[in-house]
Amino acid sequence: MLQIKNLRVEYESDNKIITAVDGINLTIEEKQIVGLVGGSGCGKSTVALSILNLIEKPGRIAGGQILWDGKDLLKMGSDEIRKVRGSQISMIFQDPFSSLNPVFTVGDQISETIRYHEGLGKRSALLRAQELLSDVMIDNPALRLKQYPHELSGGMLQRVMIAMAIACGPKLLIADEPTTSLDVTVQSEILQLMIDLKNNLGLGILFITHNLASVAEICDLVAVMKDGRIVEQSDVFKIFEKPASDYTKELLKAVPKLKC
Amino acid sequence: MLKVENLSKKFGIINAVDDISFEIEKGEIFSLVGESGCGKTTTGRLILRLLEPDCGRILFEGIDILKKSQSELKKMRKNFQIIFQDPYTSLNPRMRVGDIIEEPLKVFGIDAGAATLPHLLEMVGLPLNYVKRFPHELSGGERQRVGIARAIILNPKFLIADEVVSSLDVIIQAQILDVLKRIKSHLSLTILFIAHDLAVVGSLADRVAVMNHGKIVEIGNKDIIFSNPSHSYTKKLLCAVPIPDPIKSKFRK
Repeated sequence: MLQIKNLRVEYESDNKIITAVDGINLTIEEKQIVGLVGGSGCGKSTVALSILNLIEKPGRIAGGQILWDGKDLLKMGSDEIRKVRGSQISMIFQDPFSSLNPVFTVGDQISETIRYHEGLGKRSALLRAQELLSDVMIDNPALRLKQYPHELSGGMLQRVMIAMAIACGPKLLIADEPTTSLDVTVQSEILQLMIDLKNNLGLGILFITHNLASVAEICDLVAVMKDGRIVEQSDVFKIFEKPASDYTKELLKAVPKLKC
Repeated sequence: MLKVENLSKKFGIINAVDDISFEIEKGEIFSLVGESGCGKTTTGRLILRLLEPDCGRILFEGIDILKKSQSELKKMRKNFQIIFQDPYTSLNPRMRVGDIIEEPLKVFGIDAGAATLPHLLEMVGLPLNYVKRFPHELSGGERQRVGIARAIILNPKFLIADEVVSSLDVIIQAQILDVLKRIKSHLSLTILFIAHDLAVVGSLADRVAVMNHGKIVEIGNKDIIFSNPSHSYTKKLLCAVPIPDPIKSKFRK
């Protein structure tokens, strides 16, 4: 479904060129959760932004292809890619507080996406928004529609983000550290929700995180990134049973474990 | 070392901290665990009297700090310090690292000698040339090391670490936890470690108190609580911790 081929992304700073992503290859199929794991600054978020061609100056995509059902996303014009964003590929971010607009209600923000991509009227878009909120297991969705982001908890806001992301029936969801800022209990609920999206909607998910424990819980495939390169890529069971690269071992060692 | 008795604090109609009592022994790492909004941070702030409690007693080495005037309290504060969660907002962006770390000395008018700063930087694992840098030039982990150095420069007896690793990635997390263990044994510190991540707490704490809705629901030795939790809320928290083994995943069927 999505094929990243030899992607290179560079940032220019003080007349020096920094290679953030250095020739990576990655494939995501339908109904598959692919974990992209690495420490801060390894380039994993840059990969996510590249898929939707959202890299801004001083960064630039210096080479490679990102094929979406065979078409190169990087060669699309801005009108064309705008039709892909949100309706075919959507994205959620680490911090739901700063991803939502504080001065509009949750209902306004979800229905905005629906109205843009599906051309629905205001009232029917709001009804659809309410359905979506119950799909992501928010209690009392009718009330939540009328509330502002500051009235909701972090976990609820992340569910709102997911509702927006799946509003137009995308085939791929890019989730960039979606659980990192949440409590463990809420984190586990969001992981469950992502598995449900995969099973019920057949969504492919690119799950970006620094924590191998959450990868072990939900991913099918894993790619470990370091300094802009993928150092190891394989089936989730294989990577945990027998990690090949030293960096993967280091990441595994760093995961705090419960001794019980 | 520290004894908290029937401590309560209300914000409006919400009981943020609701009649809690616990004791921290000298030299131990005691951890308060719970979800956001459970009152663990408020408890930390009450102990330092950064917030005034509604009722209760806080005894530090037998002295009731709630009975102290502000000026007496200031003298005592040398002995208890805090490190905050967010290393981005807890450092003054216009001060250099060296000045940030040494500021507590100026507040108390202490001349600690020129060797102090290099020694501290070494202890927290920062290169010496960092003293001239500004916070924005540092990574999250490095900033947290600055926060730790600032907290221990006065040789405190008691340190509160409030979610100090929750904004860091796992590798940096492990490094910062190592720094905490190191300074604890070097300075024979007593630490109140506030966190929501039970796995992190498990790797560090000696004893644990689990908080929910402002109350302590379970308290005791870490190994006992983790292997045999008696309260349903503790079980729920333990259950939620992701396990780095795909074969044991509770989400796959």
